[in-house]
Amino acid sequence: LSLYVYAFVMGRATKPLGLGMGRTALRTLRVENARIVFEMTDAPPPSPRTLRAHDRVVRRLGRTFEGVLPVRYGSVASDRAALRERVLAIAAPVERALERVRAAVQFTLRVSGKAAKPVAPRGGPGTRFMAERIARYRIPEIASLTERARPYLRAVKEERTATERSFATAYHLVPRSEIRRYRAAIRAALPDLGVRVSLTGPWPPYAFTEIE
Amino acid sequence: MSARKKRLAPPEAEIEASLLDLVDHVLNKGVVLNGDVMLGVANIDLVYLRLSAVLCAADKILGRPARAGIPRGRRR
Repeated sequence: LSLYVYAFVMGRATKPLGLGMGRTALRTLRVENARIVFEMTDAPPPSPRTLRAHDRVVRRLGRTFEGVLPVRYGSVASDRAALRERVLAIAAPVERALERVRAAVQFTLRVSGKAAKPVAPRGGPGTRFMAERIARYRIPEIASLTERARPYLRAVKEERTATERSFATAYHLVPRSEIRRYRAAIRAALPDLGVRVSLTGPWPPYAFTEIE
Repeated sequence: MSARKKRLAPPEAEIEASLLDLVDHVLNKGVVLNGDVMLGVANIDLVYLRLSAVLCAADKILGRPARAGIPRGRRR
């Protein structure tokens, strides 16, 4: 069996951790100030059922601890020593990342409809290259919505992703204490947009897990 | 809001997610622990692509995605 890893956590557990998706007890390993939650089970093949099961466990951890930093699906270590070694290498940045997401949740906004025409950047090839790269991580179509929600946001990430259903996705990190006001701000902003926005959440902060 | 409506509203933490969101969040985001990722293949993106291929059918099987109670924006 492997150690299947779900998330880094901070604070004390407010209730029992319960079972993982392999139906065995969740355990924690502390390495310096970082604490990671795992289960003694092999990684299951990815399927809609196992993705949902993994997400449910991470959500539960989010309700059990003050902060949760999800680990990508399918991450395993061969034993405790191997896991300790991996965590030790990133313990300090993990601690900082947990501070960023403490008591906060993620909302995801998928933007569809007619995308604004990109403005051709001026300048030399280097400037144009950089401007195009920056534009990949901006959604001017929902700028008014973002501004309205800004007082309730701890962090924002935006990316333009051409899929069948949407042309861009925004991720908002919202303190739990601000969820109601955040939703009201989104509701108020929607009618003025020229695009469609679907909002899901609250999620564990999957999109805010940079280790720096 | 009536008592009936209150009962019908699911608790936030229990809102079911669409498969699109699950793939985006659970497979495509999150801390990566270098070294021991995963499932018999070395690159998680391969798994992402493989799963994406069945997304459409699976989404129909699993039903409509849940929302967080926010109405959609104006349709054009």
